[in-house]
Amino acid sequence: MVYYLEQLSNGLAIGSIYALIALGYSLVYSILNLINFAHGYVIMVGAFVALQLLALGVHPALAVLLACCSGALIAMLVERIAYRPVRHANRVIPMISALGAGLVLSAAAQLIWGPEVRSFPQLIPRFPVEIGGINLSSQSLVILAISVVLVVASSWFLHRTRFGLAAQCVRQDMVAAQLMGIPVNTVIVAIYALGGFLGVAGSILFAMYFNAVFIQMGLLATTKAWAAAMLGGIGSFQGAFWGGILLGLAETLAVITVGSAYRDGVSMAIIVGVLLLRPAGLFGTTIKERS
Amino acid sequence: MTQTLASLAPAPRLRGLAVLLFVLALAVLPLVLPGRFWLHIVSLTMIYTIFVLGQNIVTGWAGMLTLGQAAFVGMGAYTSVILTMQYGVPWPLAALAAGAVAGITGALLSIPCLRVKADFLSLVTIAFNQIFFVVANNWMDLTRGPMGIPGVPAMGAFGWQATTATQQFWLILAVVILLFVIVGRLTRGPIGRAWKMIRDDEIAAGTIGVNVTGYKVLAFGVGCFLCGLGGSIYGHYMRFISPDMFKLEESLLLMQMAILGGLASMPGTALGVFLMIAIPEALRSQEPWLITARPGIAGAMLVLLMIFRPNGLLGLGETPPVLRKLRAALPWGGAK
Amino acid sequence: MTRFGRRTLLKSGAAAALLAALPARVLAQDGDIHIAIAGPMTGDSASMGLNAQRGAAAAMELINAAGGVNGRKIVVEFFDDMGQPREAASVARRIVDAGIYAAVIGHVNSSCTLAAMPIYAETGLPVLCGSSSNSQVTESGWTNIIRCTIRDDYGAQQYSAYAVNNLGKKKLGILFANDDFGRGLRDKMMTAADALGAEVVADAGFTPNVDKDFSAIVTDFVAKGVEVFMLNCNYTEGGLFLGQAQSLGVSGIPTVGPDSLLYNEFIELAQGAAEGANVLAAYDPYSANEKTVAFMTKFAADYDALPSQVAVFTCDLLMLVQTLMAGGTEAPDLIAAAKAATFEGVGGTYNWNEKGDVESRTFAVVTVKDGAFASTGITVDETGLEVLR
Repeated sequence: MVYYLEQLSNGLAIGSIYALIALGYSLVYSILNLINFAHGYVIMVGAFVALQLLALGVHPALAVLLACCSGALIAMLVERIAYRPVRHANRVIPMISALGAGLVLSAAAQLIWGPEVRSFPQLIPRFPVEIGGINLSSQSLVILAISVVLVVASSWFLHRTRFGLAAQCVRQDMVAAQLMGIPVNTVIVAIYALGGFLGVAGSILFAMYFNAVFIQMGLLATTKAWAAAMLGGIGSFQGAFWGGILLGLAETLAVITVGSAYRDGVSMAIIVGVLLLRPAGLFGTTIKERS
Repeated sequence: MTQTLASLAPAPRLRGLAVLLFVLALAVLPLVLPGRFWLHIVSLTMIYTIFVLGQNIVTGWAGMLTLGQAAFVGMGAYTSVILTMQYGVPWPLAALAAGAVAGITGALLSIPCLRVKADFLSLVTIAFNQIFFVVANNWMDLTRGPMGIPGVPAMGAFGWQATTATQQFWLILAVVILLFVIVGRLTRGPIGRAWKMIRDDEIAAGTIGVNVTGYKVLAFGVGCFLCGLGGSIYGHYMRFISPDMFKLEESLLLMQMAILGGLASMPGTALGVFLMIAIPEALRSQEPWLITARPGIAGAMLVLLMIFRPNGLLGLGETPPVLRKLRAALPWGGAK
Repeated sequence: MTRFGRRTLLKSGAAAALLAALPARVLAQDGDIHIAIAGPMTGDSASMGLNAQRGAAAAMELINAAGGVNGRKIVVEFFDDMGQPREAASVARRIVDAGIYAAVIGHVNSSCTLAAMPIYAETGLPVLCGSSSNSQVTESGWTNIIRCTIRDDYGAQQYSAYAVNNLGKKKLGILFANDDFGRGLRDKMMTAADALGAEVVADAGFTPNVDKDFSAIVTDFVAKGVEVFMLNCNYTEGGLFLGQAQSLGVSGIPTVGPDSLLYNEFIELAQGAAEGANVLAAYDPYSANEKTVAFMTKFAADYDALPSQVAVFTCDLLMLVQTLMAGGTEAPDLIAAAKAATFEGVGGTYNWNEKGDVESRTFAVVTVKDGAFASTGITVDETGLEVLR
């Protein structure tokens, strides 16, 4: 029994990491409506920036803030260079140009920081916490708390502020939004910036939890975040959160049932199964028809 | 649309002549190229052209976003290699079986996905690619898992084997020409027209009585068949296969090639593949920073090409200005 | 503007393609000896390629300071296979086509070596392989290859014997990278554990470079009563595994692993949990051997890092070429000469058998002490392994 509870807590811990990454991803995704391959690479660079700043002796809080801002900046650059010029082309085009941008970012990261996996300073102390006979890591509790706070804050931002409402309009119908006088370009840039900012916040915690910053994080984070966002329902923050948690649980379940070597296969199969039953995702409400 | 009209019009005799000359030029390539490196690059281009033709049928002609074609390539490669090595099946049969296994799996996989729009198909195909990798990597008895299968026999049949690079080149060229003829007929015929109609306006196609689901499943089946067949050639050309040759990154590469060359364009397919293989090769250098930056430079070129030619090099929509000028300059051109 | 940009781009692309098509022979009219080094300089296993580059650079300085090969300089050129078999085949074609290379050092990933070998075998170009551990590399009948790494069957016996005999543990838990290196070790370890009267109570594979979360595996291992962690993987995942085990409150379980863990990053990533870990290295980085000391000092001064297995083997293979060619061996006979020779290198003594595998190498047991690797001088107790020989 204790074994299963411990595995449950493992699943929750990794799930909360996925939830955090899925959050920033879902934001951009809801606008773009297409798998955003650049996102993972942007937040990977952000994590490296944080590492670099910390190594230079910058105060941790400032370093994290600056790294998040750098993520926002890079995301804005990617939007300007790789997305905006092709926004109105066939919908697969932005996907490919983003992939190209991702390759550029990953090569740049290897040029600057080298190919080695780097360890990340533990800004949040890490010690075993015992709750009801189960060992939990202090860090995963903090990460879980941060994800919950970010979900609430982002939902408030998107549903209760003027900017959030404008963003929702853009998401639903870009042309109509433009006609209504919403500065579509500004809103999109802002969403990318916010997505990059949140994404780097997630990737720093990801780096801290695994104690590792590495270039392959780019593609890894994209696929995990995308899967979590799809599972939860596109464009829903709550969905992204629960999608991430469920993905973590599904992976842990795969490890204890079929074996860790099958981890990715089984968790992907679970997601596909869920989506076959609920095509809009667990928290999605609409199926958006797009050609 | 212009593309559709152009392809419906009877091909000018001179264009046929140009194609014939191009094929002849390719065929004598092994005799004139110094060394074998570039011959290898062209062979690889032809093999990848088969994969991307499969990708292009699904994505370009029928308009479905699949991101897991490498899994079907791998499925074909493993089917063919296992059949020839363990059961002594002659290669041509094994290659057809490889295509069939991949094609049937692809068609079956597509059925549940077609009711759902948005990115579900991309997710399922990505998931399928991951699952394929995990299975190929763990099913030791069948695939030897991560050890890979070395010592794959060369292509051949009836006691003859294409062992030299030149023989392999000609054999692959023959297969590619055959496939181009078949796919060309298919896409210009009623099936191709149905695919294009579904791609351009699915609701309208359904209204006038086109069996939307049936044609989509067919597109998937044909596309995956090509990938599986190509996979067989790939495995027997490389003489070695391992699961890490068929990862998600490879699928993404196939998608990039298809889009770079131009969706729903056969010459575009070949051109896109050639550039995505040849440009990184041409960028090789001893400069330490360039060794590291090489994949990034290829990525930057991809971004630039997407910005300046969002329809791919020879894709749907406008004719590239270079070609238009060329046509205008030719005595028989100008009609357009 | 756009049209201009586009055209220039196309033209320069075509020009670059033409340039690359020029036969490299033109460049090779000097008396230098050219060696191609092929490995993953970018992609998932780029850190191994980096180590190959660094090992080569350190070796080159030592070699050319010693006068090269009877006054001729050795020149190395790097070829990036990105860790992908397809790229490896292209690289092999390019190397063979160039016709100027005396030998190839590489590739690193076994799948790349296996994909490239048929091409090198066509011309019999000598292939000096460092770290490809797949047994097929030397079992496929190729006569133009030798390799340095210890075969996984022999390695697995040694690691198991150390865990069972030296540490006295009977319940092994194997964590393995699900690639040919980790999987091969895991399979052979099962047999070895059997022969030693120990039991593998748990084993878990993971996808290298993808999986970073090992908490579920740790919990599983602990629940199954694992007494010793056998880490058949690279330093990244090995370090992360130990770090995550520690933060789940697991302590006091010893660790045994191969020299793919022998990186300073292993200690960093494990966050203190690597203390006391036993690394069985195919070479002794702390040997008093003159060559080893010179190389280690040079490497540490240049890169502030510990040379990995790939770096050591790349260096040794370059020195092997120097030694043999200085002794009058012509390039095409390198493999035959190597098989006949006994070579003293940075990584100790090498003897190659007819297949091209190294023979009778012993492992140096290195441990982590006060946050740094340290030599122990312990030898592996081989009792019980006789039945497997």
